Amino acid sequence: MLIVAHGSESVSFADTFEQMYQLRAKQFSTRRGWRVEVRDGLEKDRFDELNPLYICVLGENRNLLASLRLLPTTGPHMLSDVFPEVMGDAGVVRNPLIWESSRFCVDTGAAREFGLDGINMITRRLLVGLFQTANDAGIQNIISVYDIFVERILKRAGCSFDRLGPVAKFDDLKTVGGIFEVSEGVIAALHADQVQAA
Amino acid sequence: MIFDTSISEFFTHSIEKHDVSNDDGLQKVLFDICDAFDLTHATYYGTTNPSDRGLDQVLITTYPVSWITHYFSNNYQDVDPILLHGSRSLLPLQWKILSRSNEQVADFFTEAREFGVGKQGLTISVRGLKNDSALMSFNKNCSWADWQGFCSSSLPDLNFFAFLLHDKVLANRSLDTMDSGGNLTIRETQALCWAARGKTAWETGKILGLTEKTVSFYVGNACAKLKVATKTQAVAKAVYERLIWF
Repeated sequence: MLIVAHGSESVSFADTFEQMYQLRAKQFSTRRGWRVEVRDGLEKDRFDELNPLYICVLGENRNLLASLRLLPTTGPHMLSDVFPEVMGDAGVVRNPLIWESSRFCVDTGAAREFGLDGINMITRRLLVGLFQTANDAGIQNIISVYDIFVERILKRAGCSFDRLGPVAKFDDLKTVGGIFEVSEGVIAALHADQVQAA
Repeated sequence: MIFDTSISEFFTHSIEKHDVSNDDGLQKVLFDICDAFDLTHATYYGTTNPSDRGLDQVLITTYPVSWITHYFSNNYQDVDPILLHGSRSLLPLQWKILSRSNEQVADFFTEAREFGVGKQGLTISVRGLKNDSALMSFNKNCSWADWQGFCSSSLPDLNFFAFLLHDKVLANRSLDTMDSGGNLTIRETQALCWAARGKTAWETGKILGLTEKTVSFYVGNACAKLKVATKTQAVAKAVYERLIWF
């Protein structure tokens, strides 16, 4: 099941949010060695204080399998405040029709089902949740920094996107900024695996 | 995407023709929008944050004075689920989805309708760069089906219009607006320069080595920064302000 909730609703979703910060700590600090702040096993940064919108995929036991964070580009966000150099000549985005997605993570230990196309089912579920939520809110694009490594996966899953700035290196990781289309067409493409699997 | 014959474009034309340097002028524009787009009411409720004066609440609305008076004398700001939903939400709020199981909320909506507030409504949140934010509500007396149809086709336009209006309210108060137009990025400037020379997004893409969609993205961002609704307006404003040349 999908949970779409703002940071301000953390009381109603205390358990889910706690699991989310724990998953982020596990995936980004422990597993990938990113320079993020982890306290009491929870990874949080100052952007979590800005009432972002979180999208979470839960399993049958309400255990968190994947999550991401959304911020409006009209306010402070990572690409404007932390790594604007990733945008290169594209520069800072300030548009009410564009959201920034960050902290995309999947519990690859728990989410072990893959579609016929090799895409993790939970990754796909989170992507559908992201683009469906954005489309329902009248948003036209998502911007996000991603590892070059996952570019192929995003394309194969059905995302429609272009690179924005130059490839940048952070902590031995090659990353790039991308602009993702939000539309019914993209949502349909992301669902395409269900035709295959059936 | 840029909008044609949309509320955003209507607004940008209105502010050129009428004096909107104060709240009364903006209220008149809201009335014109309701007429032109067959809406019952439109309401802007913003919180600006002039740093030396604390928070400042701004209400610009087509609601009748009788409803506003009734609302505040009954302290409905403590009951109104739209205010409780908050102006710091990323999601638009359909009034139909608000819980009516609460008797107080149900009575509130019933009374609102008695004062002429439309049966169907949508509220959009606007978030600014500082602590400023706003709630922009539209409502109409029509069927749910008609309203859904209107919303699903107009939502990006409504989002953009709410953003433009909030920016104008800030500008009227000489507060820093959400990124001044002078800060066009290199790519945004390039995209507008070629548009000024009559190139399509596809042609511009070929010239700059970008996809057509990426060029449209830059033009859209330029519109947001210049506070205009269409590519044509963006080019005109950018030329006028000497941000591009051709």
